[in-house]
Amino acid sequence: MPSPEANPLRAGLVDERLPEPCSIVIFGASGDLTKRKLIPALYTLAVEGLLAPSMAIVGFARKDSSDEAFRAEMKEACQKFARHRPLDEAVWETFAKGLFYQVGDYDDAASYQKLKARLAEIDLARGINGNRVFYLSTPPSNFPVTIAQLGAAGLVSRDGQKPFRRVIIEKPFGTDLATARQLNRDVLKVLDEASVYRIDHYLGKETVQNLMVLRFANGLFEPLWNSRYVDHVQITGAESLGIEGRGGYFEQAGILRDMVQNHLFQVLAITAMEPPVSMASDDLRDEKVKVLKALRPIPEGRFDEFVVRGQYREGTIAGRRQISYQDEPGVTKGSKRESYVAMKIFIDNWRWAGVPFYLRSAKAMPKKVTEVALVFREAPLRLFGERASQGQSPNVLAIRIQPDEGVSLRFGAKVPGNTMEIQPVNMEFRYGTSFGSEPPEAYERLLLDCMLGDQALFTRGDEVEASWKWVSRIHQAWDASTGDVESYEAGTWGPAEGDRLLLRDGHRWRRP
Amino acid sequence: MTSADLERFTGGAAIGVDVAGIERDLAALWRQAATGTQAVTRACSWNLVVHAEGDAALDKAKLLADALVAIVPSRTLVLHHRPNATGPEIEAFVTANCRLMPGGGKLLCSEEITVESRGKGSDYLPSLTRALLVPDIPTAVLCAGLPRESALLQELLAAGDRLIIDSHGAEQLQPIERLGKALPRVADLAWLRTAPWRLAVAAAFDAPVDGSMLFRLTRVKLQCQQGWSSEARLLLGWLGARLSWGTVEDGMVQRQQGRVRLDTEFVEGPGMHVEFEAEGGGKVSVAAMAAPLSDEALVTAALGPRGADRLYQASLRRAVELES
Repeated sequence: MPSPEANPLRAGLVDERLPEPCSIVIFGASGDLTKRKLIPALYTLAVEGLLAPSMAIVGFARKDSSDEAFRAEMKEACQKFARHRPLDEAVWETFAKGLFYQVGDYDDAASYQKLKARLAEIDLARGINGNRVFYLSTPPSNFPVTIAQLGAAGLVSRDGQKPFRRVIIEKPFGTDLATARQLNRDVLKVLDEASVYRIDHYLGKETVQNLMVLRFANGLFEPLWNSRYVDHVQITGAESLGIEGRGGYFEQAGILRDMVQNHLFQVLAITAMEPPVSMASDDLRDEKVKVLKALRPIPEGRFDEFVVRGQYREGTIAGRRQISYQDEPGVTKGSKRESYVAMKIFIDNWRWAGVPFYLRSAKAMPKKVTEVALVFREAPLRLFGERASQGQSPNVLAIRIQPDEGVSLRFGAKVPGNTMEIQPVNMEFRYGTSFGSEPPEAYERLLLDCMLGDQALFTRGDEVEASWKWVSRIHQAWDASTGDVESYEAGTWGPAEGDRLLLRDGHRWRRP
Repeated sequence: MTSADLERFTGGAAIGVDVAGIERDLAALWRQAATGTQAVTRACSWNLVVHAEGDAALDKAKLLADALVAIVPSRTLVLHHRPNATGPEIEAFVTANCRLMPGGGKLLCSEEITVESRGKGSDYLPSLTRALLVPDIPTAVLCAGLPRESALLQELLAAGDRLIIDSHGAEQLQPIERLGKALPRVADLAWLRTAPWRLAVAAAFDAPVDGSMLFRLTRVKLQCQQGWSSEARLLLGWLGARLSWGTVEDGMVQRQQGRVRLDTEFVEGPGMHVEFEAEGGGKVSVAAMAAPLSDEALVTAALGPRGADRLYQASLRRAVELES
């Protein structure tokens, strides 16, 4: 962000989150993410006046195309996917003038020299001061070569000086601990950590950020946020779709890599972390890393007691037929790749000693929902007699991340009448109800933060490695196991074994 | 209340209620609504008091309030006083502002209470306002244009957390400065309209442009849309506040070790254009051509941090000084 000392007009501006002009180069510009998320997010920022008018966006991909064709394609994408629709023609016209396309190969040094020359031309024509953001939205196998080539071409460097050079790396960041470590080494050969933005779009979600606000901006919750009052925590990330023809990818990834190692672990870390010293990026990330490092390793040979994997079979989801995982295109017959995972995790620190955290994530569930629920310990005494107590149940604070973002608190209330009966009731806060305005898309927030140099909502190298360290042991155990993957009917909440994981501890999954 | 009343109420029609029992009648209507076939959610995150004298002011204020309530669910209290009208001194009506929540099914509703007073009926308005504000949520007072000073206004300012006004088209900014002394959180829609301009002007002096040239200015030429004089004066006031401009003499503004000539020109068409000239021949030209912010965007911003902008008071003060 430009400093108020250098520019007196910046001082005190409420809208100070206006980034300096820069060029954003998107590698993998012909891909779906560019069309569905990145360009619509940038256009929305332009509509909201959050981009300098001289900004440039350069799409880089192997596919032969031109500036004009790229602009037309992106206009169509914004018409379909931008948050502000229909398009504002005046804004689009200005925005489109900053859109360019550069054809090139990711492993070809000459392509990067051409890109460098093109960026210099654009800098000159649009008055950009050499600031650059490189967005790696290619298949992950291209990350190392792209980063190496960026370094070799002098497009990025480790000096961290102005003009800024920042690199956003899409997920997945590695496929296990070894590959994540290697990728971190590759990245840090040509960049310093302060220029690396590992994206996990869950962190850009308003409700994930609200988790921090709920905890640290209110006096009510934090005193209860520990093992003395919390009985257990449930984190659910459910998808109502199957793998939708992405068999080739999913066979390699599975739900544990696709959802848990990144998204759900980030949610877990924010739920469980200590209050950071400040909201500065490293202070926040230090606390998340401490949580991930405190995850108790599952004892060797006892993985089945802590982790359940499942795979959907044919069924119906909300009245729609769903074929079985085994029949999905690109899936190897007899595959044991998990589309469901449930696990019990303990965090060995002072705050959470003995409190189980149950995580589950799956495809082909009854509905799409992501939520965190803190289930509190019951009142110490059932004071209102046997009959009244039938309706007494633990208090639950549920934070809904998507959809219907909000927070609800369940507590017992007296049923009106002459007898003493207790019934659980919900006190609800819904974003859509209390704030009529639409929350920004995660990518809008994250792209803006990157341009402003704020890394707080991006994952750091040690964070990624800490989560892979824990998750990779599960993969190793599964690889060594001859056991079968549990089957569950598509459109249900998963296999019975997933329920038993909680029943053994006297708990049940919430119905989100 | 009849079921026809209920249907009219949730459909947005005004239902006459007993002035002494507004809360009671409203509660009855909501209770009935809760037993209907369609799920109804009531929401309220602000008290919005709309203060208007005369029909034209009411229409204008209502338009703004409706735009706001569509985005920020609020209990709207419309206080409409017609000093010279005949009829009952005071009447009250209630209605629901409902919209279907995303995904359908549930209706999201907030309530609107209109109190019509005539002649001496305005004496009742302060006590009614005190009784009808929802506790524990902030209160905004919305006036179309600039409010006239009155006992009711003083009462509203005392109860309010924010006063939303619009100085657009005002001949002078001085009365607003006086209001601002009574309630520091004045959100002036004219000031909010200048937000994209201020951003564009500030961005024009980011590196590599040398920001220190702002302290060596010799001339500022501002061109903006006909009728936007308040916005133009507020923009110049902001520049003056940020750059520590002093008094005006012979059409020139004093600055440290020099003087700045200010030229303002009003033209057809939207947008704003400013040219800055500095000693040594430095020139910077800024154009902000974006479409003006919508009423919805402005009133929503007025309830957010932009509506409590600390720069506003300083800029307004300097704009008033420049005016004189």
